[in-house]
Amino acid sequence: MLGELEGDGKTTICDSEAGVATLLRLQPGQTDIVLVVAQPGAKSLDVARRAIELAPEDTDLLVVANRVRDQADLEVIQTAVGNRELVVVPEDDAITRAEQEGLAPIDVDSDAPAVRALINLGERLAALSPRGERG
Amino acid sequence: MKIIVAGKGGVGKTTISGTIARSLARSGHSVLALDADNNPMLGISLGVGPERTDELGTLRQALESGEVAHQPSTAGAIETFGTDAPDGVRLVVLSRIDRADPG
Amino acid sequence: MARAMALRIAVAGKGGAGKSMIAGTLARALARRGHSVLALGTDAMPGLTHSLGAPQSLEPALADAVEPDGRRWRLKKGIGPVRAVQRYATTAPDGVRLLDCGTPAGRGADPVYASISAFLQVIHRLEDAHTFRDWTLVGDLAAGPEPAAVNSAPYADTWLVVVEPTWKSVLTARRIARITRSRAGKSTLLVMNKASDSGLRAAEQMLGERVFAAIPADGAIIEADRAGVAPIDHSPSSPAVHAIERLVEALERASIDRMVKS
Repeated sequence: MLGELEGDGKTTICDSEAGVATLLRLQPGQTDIVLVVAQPGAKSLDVARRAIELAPEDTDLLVVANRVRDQADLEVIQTAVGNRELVVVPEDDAITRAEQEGLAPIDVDSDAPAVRALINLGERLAALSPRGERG
Repeated sequence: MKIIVAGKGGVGKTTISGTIARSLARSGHSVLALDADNNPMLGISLGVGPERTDELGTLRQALESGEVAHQPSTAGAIETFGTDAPDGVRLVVLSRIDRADPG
Repeated sequence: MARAMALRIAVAGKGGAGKSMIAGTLARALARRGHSVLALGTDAMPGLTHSLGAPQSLEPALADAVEPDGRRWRLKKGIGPVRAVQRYATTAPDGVRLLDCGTPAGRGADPVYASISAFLQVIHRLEDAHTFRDWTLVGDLAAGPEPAAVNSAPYADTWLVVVEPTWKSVLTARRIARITRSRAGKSTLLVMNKASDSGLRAAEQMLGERVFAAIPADGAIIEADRAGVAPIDHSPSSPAVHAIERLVEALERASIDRMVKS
């Protein structure tokens, strides 16, 4: 299914099951990029480390450090994932509001720091590959 | 391009996936957002609203329990188990079988 | 007294709502009130170990309890729930025993699935184990509605559904409650976590019902998580920990009420 979609010029982004279950089932060639999301908490970092171990070898991997409040938070995530680039998404009230209201953060405030960080990441990923035709 | 977003439950995977999907679409990509979670909430982060998201969740449950049949084609699956989101993004909920399919 | 009243609790909810924190703190608080507590880490992801303040599990791993049986696994001869707890459970402070799926070392899916299989088989035989008849069981379930749908906590007579003031969490809680309330003989109680006054009102409106208990938003809990320390050890006097202690008392009262009525 994924191969067929890519042939049609689609870019797919898959929100996986909580944990590593989806990663465990991946066959070679099914993914180009793995984004591992981590928060500065012990449980989240345990899972992030495991996800990094399990990511298929033929993929690019980026770690997204989410809900970062300060340098200490950044350091605890960096220590856990080793020598890897972190895409930093700060703690942001706009996201909290979006979750409470049931809205997309990009519709609540596209200029909020966390939303901008994610928009920038989207633009960076978009530039990695020739784009598909839009509608 | 095929992207997968992973992490512990509650760290923000869905919020991040949804926002990146909208950004990719605004950058000109034709985006298919796939919700592989057995508790699909990506609709909310994409901006389709809680009600439609809940409906898709119920549909996925029906698919898993066999009340509703799988679609034989990819196009059929996208049509039946999906919904349109803003910026031209198409959201599709995946069942366990879809996820195992090497495609 | 407390010891006569074995509780059987499963803690469910959306990922990140605070299941492990609540289950672990509940388990410790119950043990301090005289219960013999067996905590069950049904989630293959870590969580309960941290919230209980249990030591990291050493060898042997729970996956050792099973052997391949065609495409599945079966418990090895002589291993039932009692021996599984003896051999594979760790001991947290206050004497809480923890049986956890764990995160086995090594690449690949097999150790993970073996571990989960062992765990589920032990869980399903717990109810028949005479040894645990007077024990209080507290299960920390995997995220989402699936554990409710497949009944991964057959031992539970009380389902605590943890909900935060977000739509994702509320939709999940509603889905779980619909499933567990359709089963006779089970009690389903909604517990709001990270509650503020406005958040509580908003959530109850989204849920369409009042919650059984509310645990306040508490910076100390976030700090405990970042430090990797159990909340009850890190900040025993914090508002959230106190709220969980009150929840324990409420659960004991509810259990007595159920016994009196039956």
